[in-house]
Amino acid sequence: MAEEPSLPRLPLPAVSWNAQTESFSNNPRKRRATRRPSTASGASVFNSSDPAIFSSDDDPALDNYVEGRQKRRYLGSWYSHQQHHQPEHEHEPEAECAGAPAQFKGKRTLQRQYDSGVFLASDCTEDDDTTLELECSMPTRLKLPQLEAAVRTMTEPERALQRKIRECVDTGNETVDFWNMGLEELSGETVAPLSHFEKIPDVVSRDVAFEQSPPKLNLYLAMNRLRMLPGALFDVTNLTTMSLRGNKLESLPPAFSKLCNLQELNLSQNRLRHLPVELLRLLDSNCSLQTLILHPNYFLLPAHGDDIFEILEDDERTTPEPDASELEYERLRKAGTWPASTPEAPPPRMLTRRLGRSPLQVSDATGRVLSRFKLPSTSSHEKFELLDVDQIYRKQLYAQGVDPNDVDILSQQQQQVEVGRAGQSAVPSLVEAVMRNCYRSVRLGEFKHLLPEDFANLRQVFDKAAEEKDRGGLPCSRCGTLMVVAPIRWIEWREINTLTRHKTREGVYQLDPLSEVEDELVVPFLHSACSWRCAPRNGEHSGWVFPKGCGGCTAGYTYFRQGYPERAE
Amino acid sequence: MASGEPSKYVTLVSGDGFEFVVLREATKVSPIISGMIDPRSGFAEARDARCVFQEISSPVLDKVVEYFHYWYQYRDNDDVPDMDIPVEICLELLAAADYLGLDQATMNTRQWS
Ligand SMILES: [Zn+2]
Ligand SMILES: [Zn+2]
Repeated sequence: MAEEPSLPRLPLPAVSWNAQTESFSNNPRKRRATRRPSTASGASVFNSSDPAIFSSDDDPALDNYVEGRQKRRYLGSWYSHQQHHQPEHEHEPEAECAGAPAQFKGKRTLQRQYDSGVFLASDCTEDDDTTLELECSMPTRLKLPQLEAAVRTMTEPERALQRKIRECVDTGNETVDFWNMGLEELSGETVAPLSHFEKIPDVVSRDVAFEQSPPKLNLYLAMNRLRMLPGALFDVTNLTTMSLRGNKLESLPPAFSKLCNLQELNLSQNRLRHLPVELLRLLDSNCSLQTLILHPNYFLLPAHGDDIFEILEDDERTTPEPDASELEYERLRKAGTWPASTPEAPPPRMLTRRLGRSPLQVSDATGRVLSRFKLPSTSSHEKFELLDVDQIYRKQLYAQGVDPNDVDILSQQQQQVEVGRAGQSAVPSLVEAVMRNCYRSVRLGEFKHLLPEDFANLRQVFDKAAEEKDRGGLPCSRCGTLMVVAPIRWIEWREINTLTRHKTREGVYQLDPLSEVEDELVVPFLHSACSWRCAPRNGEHSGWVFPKGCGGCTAGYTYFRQGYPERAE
Repeated sequence: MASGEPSKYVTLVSGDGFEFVVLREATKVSPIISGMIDPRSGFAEARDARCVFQEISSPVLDKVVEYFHYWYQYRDNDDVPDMDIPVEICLELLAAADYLGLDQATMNTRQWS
């Protein structure tokens, strides 16, 4: 921009945009007559959220606007007068003027198809009511099939599962067995009844005051063809066993961490490139996970040790270092102030530790990757793809016409982190702030269709937002803030070990990796951060991570790596 | 204002003629505005510390200005409250934010590209 002598005009999209939005925004141009422009020192001059009065022929497409013509006036915001193609409105075809073709081009058709009665009527009443008769006398009611097409049609296997779930809920059967049934899709609607599952009162023990223990649900969906899981599945918090073995899952949503009552989880034989780091919460001591089967999958592993941006020293430490909560526990116990009634918590079932992480992927609020490092796509069908950071950088540098041999890649990454740090702020970008508001709106699915096609990048963000919402939300891995697009992402490689009580020695536990296969010792976890504040810090706590809430549960125990206890102490 | 220290405030003007006076520091989060008012740029905008946005309506520019203050106020905080944006201006604001380069979490991330 600096090379231009005069200031460039706003790009065209903004022009069409402005005209476009007048129809559904507060219509500032028309207000100008009643409000005098004034110098405002940033304080709100308008309360932009007050109900705007708008008229039905504010359609910007009406170039031949006639002043003084009879207008329909509505009080309230534009959206409260619109009936959209949302499921609950699906069967209100009378509101539609020209049917609802699946695609639309340009603003005017956009107004027609996705706005209902209010706007469409105005389209049609452009001149007078006769036009309405003519244009709108399209047999709208007969257009029903097209509207129906918008409704998600449920596949037969899913219908069968829906019946099965209903039957289980009705009869109090806690096990839903749907193994190898050709299930390709699973919607929230199908699994939702499980979250209202109630046990049938036991008639035999009716003399005992009826005690409602939570159900222990088992969901077996192994050997199907699922690619995605609906967010509603993670509201079925009474799930105790879940098998998703042998599906086509490419990623798991962070909402998985809500299934804290899971005792057994089988995720093997899917196409998972990485797991959400939130899944580790299932290892917290207030959760119940006992058995976790992760392999085989398409897990991303570093191609070479030196491809890991930050690799932690494997110090072969066999005794985990106590963390702060443990030290506090010890102090309280020695001081005798620890509540005597607190039972010794059992040792955790599994322990994990960080091994290292990938470089950071930095993107803008529309998801465009700005950093040199880009995480491989989850939908790649390469089975054993290795994350070759070196290669990724080299390709990029070549594309930029730079000889990779002239660049010290690692030090560039380091610089990136440092510069990011310098400008770190937890404030989201304005695009992200707006998107978070749209995300919270029940009308999230509609915004995209109101955006002119010029804004392809922004329309795409709405797809992302809808997708994340369906999956149960995208929280920042560190602070939990719900995001639409994560500006910073990276993969952290961890080792997960199970703990087994030693056969003979009291207080001695053996650590065993989840899998004995060499390539499966390392498990990739995806982190998503809301800002640089939540980005990883170099040299942060490494080594064994104790489950949250385990306060003191590791005190007094000794852990050994596999094989170690055979030798004499 | 043509010489010496650049003014502490800048004036943003909406297409419908409303003026908003904003702390210069607070507008730094927008690379576009920063570029316009950079004294080295030689733009008329820089001389007068005044930017006119023909295509941005006043309710939207009002919200953009609110964002500048929000960013300025919380940029060093750990806890940042949500910014409330009425749903009816979301799309217009989104387009304005996109135009003003307000699509990155911090100003310094510009350096990635
Ligand atoms: Zn390599
Ligand atoms: Zn965060």
